[in-house]
Amino acid sequence: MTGAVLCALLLLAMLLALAAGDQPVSPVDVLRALAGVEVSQVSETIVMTLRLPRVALAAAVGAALAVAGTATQAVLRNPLAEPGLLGINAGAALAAMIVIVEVASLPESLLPAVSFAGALITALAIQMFAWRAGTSSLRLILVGVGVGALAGAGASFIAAFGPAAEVQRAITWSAGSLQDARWVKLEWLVLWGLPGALALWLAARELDLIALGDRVAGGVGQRVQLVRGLVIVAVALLAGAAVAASGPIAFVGLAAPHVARALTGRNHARLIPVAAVCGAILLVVADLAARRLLAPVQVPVGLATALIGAPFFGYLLWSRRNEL
Amino acid sequence: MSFDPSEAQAGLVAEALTLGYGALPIVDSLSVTLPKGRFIAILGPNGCGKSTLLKALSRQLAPLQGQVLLDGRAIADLGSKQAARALGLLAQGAEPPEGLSVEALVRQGRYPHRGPFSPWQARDQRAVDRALHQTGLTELRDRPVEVLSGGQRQRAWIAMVLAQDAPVLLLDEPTTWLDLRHQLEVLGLMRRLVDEGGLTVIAVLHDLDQAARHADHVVMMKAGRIVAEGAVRVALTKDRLAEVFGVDVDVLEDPATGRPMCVPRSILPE
Repeated sequence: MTGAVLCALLLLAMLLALAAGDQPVSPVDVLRALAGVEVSQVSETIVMTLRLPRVALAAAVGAALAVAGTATQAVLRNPLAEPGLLGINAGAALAAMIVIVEVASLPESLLPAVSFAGALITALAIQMFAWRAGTSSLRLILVGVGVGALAGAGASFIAAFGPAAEVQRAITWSAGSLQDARWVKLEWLVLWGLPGALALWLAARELDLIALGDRVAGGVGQRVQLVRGLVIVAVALLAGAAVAASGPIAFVGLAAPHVARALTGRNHARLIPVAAVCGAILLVVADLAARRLLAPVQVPVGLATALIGAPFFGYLLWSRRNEL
Repeated sequence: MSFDPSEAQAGLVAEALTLGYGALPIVDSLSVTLPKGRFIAILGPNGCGKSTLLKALSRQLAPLQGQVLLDGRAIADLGSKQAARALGLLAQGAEPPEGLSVEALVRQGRYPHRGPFSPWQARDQRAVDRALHQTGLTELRDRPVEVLSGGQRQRAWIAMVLAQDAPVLLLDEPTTWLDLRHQLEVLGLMRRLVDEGGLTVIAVLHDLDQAARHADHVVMMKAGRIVAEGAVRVALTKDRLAEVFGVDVDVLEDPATGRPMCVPRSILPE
């Protein structure tokens, strides 16, 4: 039931996002263009070539971040955790900054690969530094914050001394943007992200258990270190692929799992797909807002998610103030 | 001091265990035989290594030296799920995630009996129903764990361990933080599990009277060594308690049950 309603909401949000813009297209024409039924050339180009890749990418990035966030909150046993805590955003941003500013000769098409590698390396490094006869949730968070700050400092350093034009480009990228959405980015995200998402969904039972704590999970026979390590690798794949496609986008990975838990409870086999759809809706709507709020100026979608997400999150905390 | 093997079968055997978290051992070359089908209390002052011993017995801590045998097999050689089918562990002070129902928590106890993708089966549900019944939580099965009282919450964790269906239960201070009534409830349940279910219960306890009243067998530890071990009446003596706790304790007989009762009198000089 919840699932059907959410999917309908997602389709509605995508339809709206395809229709709205500087050149509005009527929802009927959007549907006709999508179905390949006869429609004006202009409308078809706008819907199929300009808007559809962006809306589809927004949905995919939102879903990827939401699934990654759900798994992160389970293994770190912390409701405020998100993939960014594992250094994924900071590592990706640093790698992208280095490439954009320092290696200007590198073709832009390699940027996603580079930021993906940065995300993955940082996530692995954090696990390595946090390892002391196994990792613990607290140590991972502390090391993650530290490594994230270090990578952030590195990026700031490069920004301070690099040539202004390149730095500007890098800063725009690191604000998170779907402006440059192309089908190839979506393919990339699906190729790298889907295995991670599927692995996490198949491991739903392990996530249910590890959320009870290391000692309880270990007591009933879970190989806690192995599960946590593999989950973090899957999260890094998924969130790294999302960051590579759109730059770091705040808040979806944090808020979508909370919304999904409020809707469906704590069973990860249900929670993960519900969170994915919630994340997709959240980012499609946020991107629509980013395009339309200050039109014709486009706000980076990362800013829009923060602007929409922060008050929503405040409301979430406030409405449950007696429980927390 | 020694345990008469003719009296009962050996369940868990620790052989020359040296335990610790770094270079410094907390428990040094400890050997003990814990009899099957008994309620065994591990006693000792803070920092004596009793919780560390329990971790090693439950396979949560790999020994620096020595080994733990369960029915003659080294537990280190068992797979983690295989070990969990044989040994249930009630960890101390675990916090369930918000919003988790009692039954959802208890179902997690079935983890070692299920393959990675095998569906929930009738026998899993039977084990969960039985565990909820044994702990008196059948009516509360749909409640979120965090709204339960302290005693009910502890019973929910115990139910999870019972659903695990292991013949040996290891409990780390199961009565700490509970009020008197809930302490008695938990210990009474342990007693019934041993008497009626034939389980072996090994519990780290803080309260001497609880051990004297409910346990069959005690293991007393001090500074990583076993000072006394055996049936309650034999091991719990004035001299041993003075040695282990540094307290002058009168051991009296409870007129109602005939079991020993410990009345602390004064702190002995170091």
